[in-house]
Amino acid sequence: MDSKFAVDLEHVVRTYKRDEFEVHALDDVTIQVPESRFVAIMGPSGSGKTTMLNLIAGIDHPTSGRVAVGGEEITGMKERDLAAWRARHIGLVFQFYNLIPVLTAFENVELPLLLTNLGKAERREHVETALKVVGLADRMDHYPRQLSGGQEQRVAIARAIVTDPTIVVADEPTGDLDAKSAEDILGLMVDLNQQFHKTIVMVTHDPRAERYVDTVYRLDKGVLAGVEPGKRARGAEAAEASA
Amino acid sequence: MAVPLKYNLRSLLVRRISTAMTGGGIALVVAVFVIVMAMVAGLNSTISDTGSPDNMIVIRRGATTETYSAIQLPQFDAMKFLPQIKRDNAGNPMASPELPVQMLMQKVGGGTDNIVMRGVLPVALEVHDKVHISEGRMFKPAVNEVIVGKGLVGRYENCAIGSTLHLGRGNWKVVGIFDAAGSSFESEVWGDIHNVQDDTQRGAYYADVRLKLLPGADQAALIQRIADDPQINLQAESEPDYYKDQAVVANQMRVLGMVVAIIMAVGAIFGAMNTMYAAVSTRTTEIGTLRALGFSPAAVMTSFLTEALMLAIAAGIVGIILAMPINGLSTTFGNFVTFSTLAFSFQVTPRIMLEAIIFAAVMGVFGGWLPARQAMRMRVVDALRSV
Repeated sequence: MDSKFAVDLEHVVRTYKRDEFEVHALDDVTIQVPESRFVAIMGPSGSGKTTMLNLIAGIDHPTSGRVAVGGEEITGMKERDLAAWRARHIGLVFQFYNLIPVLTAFENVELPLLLTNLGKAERREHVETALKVVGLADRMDHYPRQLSGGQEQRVAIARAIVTDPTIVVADEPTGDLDAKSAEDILGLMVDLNQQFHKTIVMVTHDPRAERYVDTVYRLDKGVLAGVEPGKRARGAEAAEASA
Repeated sequence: MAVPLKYNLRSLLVRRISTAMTGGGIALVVAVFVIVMAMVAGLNSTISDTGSPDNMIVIRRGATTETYSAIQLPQFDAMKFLPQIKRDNAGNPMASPELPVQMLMQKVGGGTDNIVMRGVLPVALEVHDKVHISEGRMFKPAVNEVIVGKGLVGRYENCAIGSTLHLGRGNWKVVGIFDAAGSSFESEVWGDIHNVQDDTQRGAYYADVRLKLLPGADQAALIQRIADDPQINLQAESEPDYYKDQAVVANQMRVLGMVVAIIMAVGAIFGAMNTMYAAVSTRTTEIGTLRALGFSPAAVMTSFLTEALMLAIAAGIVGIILAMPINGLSTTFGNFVTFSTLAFSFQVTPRIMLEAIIFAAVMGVFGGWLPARQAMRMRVVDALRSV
């Protein structure tokens, strides 16, 4: 497997058992995502988008095939090792934010840092920086119920980047937001990608997302149906050509 | 690294009602446990503290208690000058022949109880060095005078100095009140042994003899001599050993109390289990999130187990506080070893408090184990899908 790819999936198959039926969520999918790219995985419901994201994030195992992230193969890792690996390399953003309701914004962002060797003062510094990046430095003592949906998702993004992970994976990050908040979140993810060179893999239904990403991977019925540049990339190419 | 404790603490506080209901159940079980153990400790202390390490009790061979014993005057005469026995300033041996008998005594407010009336000689006050006249004076020999243990005062009729007690066939004038450092003697009435013999028509024999030994006296040799000497032919043992055997009643109460507490604890464990299963069920997404962030399955299990423990230990402390008013409370107990009533005080000791906390913690662990294991075993993907 080539280590220059942030994500490298080779002939990945994921099959689920549903009672007596076998569901082929992913069927022989091979993709490579270069480092520092912002990519979207798109497709209709049931096309295998979230399954692919879960495999990349190391929270699910392929039935066959190989998965490597940041040059490290995770296919055969045991659950305990995978947990430690996720803590080091993966930043997760969920559709419904998945913040812990009894913890403040600060404490939610601090959670992944508890799995590192950082001291309390260093953790505080990291959390404050992450919350500043997402524009919520003044909301760090707020509980999730005291924040809007867009603000909650920003906290979730701060939690995803606070450990400086190899890759950020986002599952429908705008799916629960109004149009304005969705645009803000997508803009924030572009900033993260451009300013901090974070590799971001995003699963989305949102057609607006195409404008923000470098590449769109289209899935249909568990099969990779196409790979196309995002409008941002096309815009950049057009600008390059006109220059 | 572990999931932060504040996560568990705040989660418990968010679910105030279910936390309070479960904690209340555990607290009540712990309160019952503490009360039973305080009673056992009080009984044990009252019975066991009755003996002095340098005293020996002599009874008939084969007798298990002084109640079933009989010693003839020649046997007493043959033993009282043995070399291991301490002498008073006048050179008299500190050997106290005694005759405890059960008498019915009128309770304040109605009813009667079996009370020990102990016939003794004045030397008894020297041999039983924990016994002191706290009010009035010692009875005079050969007249129907008695001194009353302070555990009986206020519980039974006519115990005040100057009153007349009707015990057995006779009337006895109360001339003194004595204390005995909380021991079972405080639940007795003491009178002249000869008058007690006459009143109970028992003849000229004693039930037992108490011996005060010289410091460093060879107890084993004395026991052997008392057993082997054909003129004595009796059974001797140290008072602490004797009262340790008598404390069997307290041990039986302890077993009974533990059985009751364990049965109640099973109910409380199911309560805690129910609460923790509900906690795991309503926080499935949080569990999935924690796991996805990188917390190990063991860390998640430890977190939920810790939550159950925090709840149980807090409830345990509440249970101890609920039971604390019982501490020092005096009451009486029918001792079926001596067939007499014993006054004692509940004793909530630090050891009982520690045991109560451990008991609560055990309930927490048992109640939290299966739900915590369920949380640990969840697949991250399934847990996250439960949104």
